[in-house]
Amino acid sequence: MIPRISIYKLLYKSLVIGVIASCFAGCGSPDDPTGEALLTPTEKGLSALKMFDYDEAYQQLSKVQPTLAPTDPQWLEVTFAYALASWHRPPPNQRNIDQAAQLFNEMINAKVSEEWKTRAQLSLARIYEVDDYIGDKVDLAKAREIYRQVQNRYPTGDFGYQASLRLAQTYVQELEPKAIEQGIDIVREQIARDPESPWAAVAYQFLGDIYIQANGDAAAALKAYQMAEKIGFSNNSRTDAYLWRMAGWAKQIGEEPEAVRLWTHIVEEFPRSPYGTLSRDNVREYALQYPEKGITAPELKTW
Amino acid sequence: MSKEEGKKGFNWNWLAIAALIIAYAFSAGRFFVYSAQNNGDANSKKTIRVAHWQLEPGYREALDWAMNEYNNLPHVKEAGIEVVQIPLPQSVYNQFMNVHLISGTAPDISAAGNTKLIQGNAIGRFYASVGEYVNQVNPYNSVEKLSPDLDPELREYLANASWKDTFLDGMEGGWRQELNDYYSIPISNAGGMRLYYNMSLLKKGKTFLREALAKKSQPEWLKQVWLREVDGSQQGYLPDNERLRKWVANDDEVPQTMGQLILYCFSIKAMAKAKNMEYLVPISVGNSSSGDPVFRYQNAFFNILGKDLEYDGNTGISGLEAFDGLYRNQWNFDSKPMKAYFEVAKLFTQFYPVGYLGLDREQTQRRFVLGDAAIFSSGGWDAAGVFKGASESNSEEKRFKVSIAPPTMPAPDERWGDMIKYMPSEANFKTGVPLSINKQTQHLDWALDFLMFISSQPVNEEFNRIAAWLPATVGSETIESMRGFEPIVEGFPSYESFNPDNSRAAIKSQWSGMSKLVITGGMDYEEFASKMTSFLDSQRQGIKAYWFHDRQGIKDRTRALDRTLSVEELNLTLDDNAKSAERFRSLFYQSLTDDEGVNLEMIWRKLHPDQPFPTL
Repeated sequence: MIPRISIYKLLYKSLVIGVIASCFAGCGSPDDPTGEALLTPTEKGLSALKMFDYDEAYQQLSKVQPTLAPTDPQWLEVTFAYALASWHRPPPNQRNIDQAAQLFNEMINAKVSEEWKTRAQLSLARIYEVDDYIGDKVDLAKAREIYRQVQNRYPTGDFGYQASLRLAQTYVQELEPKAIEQGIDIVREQIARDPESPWAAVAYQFLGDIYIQANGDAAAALKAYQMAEKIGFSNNSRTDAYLWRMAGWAKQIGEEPEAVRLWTHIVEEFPRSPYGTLSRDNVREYALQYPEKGITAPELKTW
Repeated sequence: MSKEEGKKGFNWNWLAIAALIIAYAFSAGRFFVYSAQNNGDANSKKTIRVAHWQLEPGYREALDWAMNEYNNLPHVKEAGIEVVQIPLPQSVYNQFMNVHLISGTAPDISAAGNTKLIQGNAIGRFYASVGEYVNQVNPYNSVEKLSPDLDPELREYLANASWKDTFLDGMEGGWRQELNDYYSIPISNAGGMRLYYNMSLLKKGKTFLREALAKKSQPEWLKQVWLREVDGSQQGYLPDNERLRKWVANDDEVPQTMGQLILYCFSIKAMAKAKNMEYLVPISVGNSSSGDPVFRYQNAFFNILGKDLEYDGNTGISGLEAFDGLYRNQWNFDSKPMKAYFEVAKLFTQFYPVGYLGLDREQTQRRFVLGDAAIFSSGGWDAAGVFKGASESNSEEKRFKVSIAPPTMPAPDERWGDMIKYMPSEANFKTGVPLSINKQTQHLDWALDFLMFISSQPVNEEFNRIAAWLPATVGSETIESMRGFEPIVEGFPSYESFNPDNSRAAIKSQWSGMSKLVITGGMDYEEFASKMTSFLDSQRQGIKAYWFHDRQGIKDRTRALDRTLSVEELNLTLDDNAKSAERFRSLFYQSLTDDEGVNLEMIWRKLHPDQPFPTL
C-alpha cells in the first residue's frame, strides 16, 4: 500500500530543512577579510607558493597553466611557478617530479629569454642531482651536463656562480680525493672569472669548508674565509661564529696575531656574541704571554 | 486517533522547530552585529583583538594602560579603532589559537605560541610577515615624542633608526630562521634565570649558621661541608676562611659562591629540622627544567667536554657530535666533568621538596611566596608575582623582602673551582612576548601601528614598568626591582656544551629518564653508565642509528631548503631587490654545506676511516 503523505507533513519537512539550511548559511563566515574570493587562480596560486603551500599552489595553477599558450604573457611566470609547485608538493613521487621536469623542459624549449631558460635549467639539473623520493635515481652526468651549459652561457654573475657551485658539489659528494680536488678547481676558476661578485663570498666559504672537512687544511680554510670576510660573509648574522672558527684555525697553525685580531674584532664589534668572553680571555692570555707586544685586551660591553 | 485527541496533545515537533528558529535568529543576529562592527562604514568601531597568555600579575594591567593610551590617540579615535586584549591561560592557549587560526576567526594580533600547526614554514600560512616594515622608522619614536631628558644622541638614534634597530636584540626575538623573515614584534624582555632569595630566611639561616659555627663541637651537617682530603679524594665543598666568615657575618649578603650556596642550603635544612619547620626547604624546584638550577651547572660542567667534541664546523655541539665523542674517547662515564655534574645534581636534589618532580610552576612559586622555601629559581616573568606575594601576605610576620642574584660559581679554592669558570653567556638574549599579526586580519595597518606604538621607547618603558618586566626597546629604563634580571654578558656560548637534551628522541629519553633516577637516588651511577653504554651500542637505537638518522635528517633539511630556495627564486624573479638576493645567497650557502648529508659522510670517513657509513 502506498503511504499517504499529507501536504502538512511535506510543508513541515520543507520548513525544517529550510531552517537548517538557512541556519548553516547564517553561521557561515560573514566576511572575506583577505578578499580571497576576488583573486584569480593565478594570483591565488602565486600567493600560496610564496607562503610555501605547494599543494594549494599546484591546485590553483593547474586550473590555469594548461589553458595558457606559450605566447600568453602570463605563461612563463605561471609555468615556472606551476613547475616549482609540482616539484615540491607533498608527498614527493615520480609523477610530480616527472611533471615538474616536463614543465621545466617546456620552458627550456620555448622561445623565451635566456634568463628564464637558465632558471628552468638550474631547477631541472637539481632534480637530476638529488633523490627526491625513495627509489628516485640520481643522474649526476645529466646534472653536470646542464650545469656546464649554464656555466658556458654565463661564465660570470649569479647564474654562473650557482651553476659552478652546484657543479662542484656534484664532485665533492663523490668523497674521493680526486673528485674533491676537481670540485675545488671548479670553484677557484669561478672566483678567478668573477672575483668582485657578492657570490664570491659564498664560494670562498664553501672552499674553506671543503679544505677543512675534506683535507683538514686549516691554513687553506683560513685563507678562504679571510677572503670571504673581506667581501662580507654569506650570512651576516653569523659573522661572529665565522670569526670564532677562523681564530681557532689561526691559533692551530700558529698564526696567533691573526687569532688575536679576530678575537678582538668579536669583542669590539659584536657585543651580543656569546663568544665575547672567551675571545677577551684569549686576548688577555696572549697579552700576558707577550707583554712586549703592548696588547690591551678589549673589554666586554655590558647592557 | 480522533480529531478531538489530536487537538488535546501537544506536538513536540513544534518545540524542535521553535528551537531551530531561535538558533537561527541568534546566529543571524550575531552575523549582523559582527558585520556591523567589522564591515560598517568608516565611522563604525573597529576592534583589534590581542591574544596572549601572560597572566602574571601586572601584565594585563600594563597592556590595558598601553591600549587605553593608544585608543585615546586622536588619529586612532577618529578612525574608530579600539584595541582590546584577550588574556588566555597557557593550558588552553594553543588549542584556542589552533581552532581560530584554522577557522579564520583568530584575533588580529597574538602571541604565536608553539603549536605544531605553525612550526617551521607553516607560520607563514597564518601570520603576516613583517619584514618589509621593520626597516622603516617607527613614527612613535620621533624626537617630539621622546622625553627631552633622554641623551640627545640617543634621541637622534631612536628617531632615525629602523624599527628593528630600536630593539635591544635587533628584533631577533621576532626573526624566523626557517623563513628568513620577521614574523613577530617582541614587546618585553624576560631576562635571565636567577635565584630569588627570601631575605628573612637568609637572616634566620645565617643566625642559625653562626650558632653552629660557634659551637665547640660542630654538628655533623656542618663538618661535612668543609673541604678536605679523604683517602686521596676530595670531600666537602668549601674551606672555612676569612671570606666565608665575613659573608656569614653579613645578614644581607646572599651567597656569592657555589660553596656558600651549598653551606647555606645545608644550614636551612638543619634549621628546618631543628625548629620543626616541616614544610621549609632550601630551594623550591618543580618539574620544569628551566627552574632547576642543576641544569645550569650541567651546561657549565659539560662545556668542558664540548671543547673536544666539535667537528662539523657548525655552531654548537650537536647530540651526534656529543655522543659519538664517547666512541672516539673524547669522554667516558668516568670523565671528571661527567662525574662532577652528577655529584652536584645529587647534592642539590637533597635541597628540593620531596617529590619535586610532581610539582608544577605555580606550586613551586607558591611555596616560596608562603615562606616555605629559602630560594626560588626562575626568570623575570615570575618576578611581579613573587614580589607581590612576598610583600602582601595577610600576616605581617610572613611578609619578606626578596633579593635577586645569578646562580653562583665555585670560588677557585672551593670544590669544582678548578673546573668551571663561567655560566652560559646571556649576551645573545632575545626579547620576549613576540606578538604576531594574523594574516587574515582586516586591520593589518592598525595592528602594525599599535605594535609600533607599544614598542616605541617611551611607551615600552612605561608599559614594562607597570608590568614589572624588562623593556625590549633601546634606551628604556629598567625598574630597580628588575635590574637583577638584566643579561649577564660574561660566560661561554651555551650551545658549545655537550647537551644530552639536543640528541635524538630515543637517546634523549633514555638519558633523561635514567639520569633523573641517578640524581634522585633510584639508580647507581655505575648502573646508569652501563645501561646507557649498552643502549648506545644497540644497533637500531644507538649511535650508529644516530648517524644514519642524522644523515636522513640532513637530507630532509636539504629538501626543505630546496623548497625555500625555489620560493626565494620566484620572489627574486617577481620582485628583484638586494635583500632578496642576499637572502637567496645565504640560503644557497646553507644548501651547499648541508647538501644531502655529504658533509656528515665526509666527517664519518675522517673519524671512522675503516668503517662504512652505518645503515639500518
